[in-house]
Amino acid sequence: MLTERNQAFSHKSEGTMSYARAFSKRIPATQLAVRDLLKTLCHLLESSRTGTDGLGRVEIVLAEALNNIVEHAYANAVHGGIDLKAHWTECRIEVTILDSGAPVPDYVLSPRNGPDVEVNLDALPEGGFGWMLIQRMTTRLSYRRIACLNCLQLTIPLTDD
Amino acid sequence: MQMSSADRDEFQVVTVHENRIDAAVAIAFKDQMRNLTEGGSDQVLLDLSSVAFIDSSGLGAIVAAMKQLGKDRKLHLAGLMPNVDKVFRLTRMDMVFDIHPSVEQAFSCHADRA
Repeated sequence: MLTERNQAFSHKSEGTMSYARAFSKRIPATQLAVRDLLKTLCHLLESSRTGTDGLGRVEIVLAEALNNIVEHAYANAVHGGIDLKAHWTECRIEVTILDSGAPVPDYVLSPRNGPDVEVNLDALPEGGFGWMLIQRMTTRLSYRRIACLNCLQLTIPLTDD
Repeated sequence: MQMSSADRDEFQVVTVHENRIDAAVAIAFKDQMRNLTEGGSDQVLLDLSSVAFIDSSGLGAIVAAMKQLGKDRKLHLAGLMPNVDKVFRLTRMDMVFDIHPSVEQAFSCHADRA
């Protein structure tokens, strides 16, 4: 049985005007729980005055990363949990995502080029866009397998385009 | 998945009445597109002006919808909001669709060409 924890807090760094904020939550590995988590986090970022470009990036990158866990890491599991921890400043958000599903195969993480679009209709790709979007919208991306856990860490800029 | 369809000139306009096309609804979207466009016009215009968010699964479903139409029919897109437009650009899928700023502009563009 999964217990849900949901924490959000903020503190003002002494002697500066910059506000650091943080959030952590454990969710069951389902698409609807992913949707709810993104909604909560985006509300918090909005209240820290993150602009629409930054919010859009966070929502897309985290939707892709979390749905990959739901669809692939836990593909053969009945139940699974995902832990997400995030902290952010005005300029960037750093996120750590942990799950105990299957490891991410190496080829998945290799740098992606855009697909060939000069092909016949039938040959157009219908998938494989997720990691491409994650790679293009993050400034730092690291994946480690620690014991039986997947640990994905990413940094997303919150500045305007 | 709330979607509707109307015929206008030689276009069939399919409107998505949801603010997201994501992994949770991608299959429903693809099925609805198949049902709504079966036997319809050769020119299908998908109005995405209510859609604020799309992920890779939603994008894949739109590509699949275009493939379902076959090579003799065309899928146009209209009304992409900034974060939706970004997903198309970053994956280069903006190169494979006719993308119009709005439904109205798609019609005036088509009228100019006729």
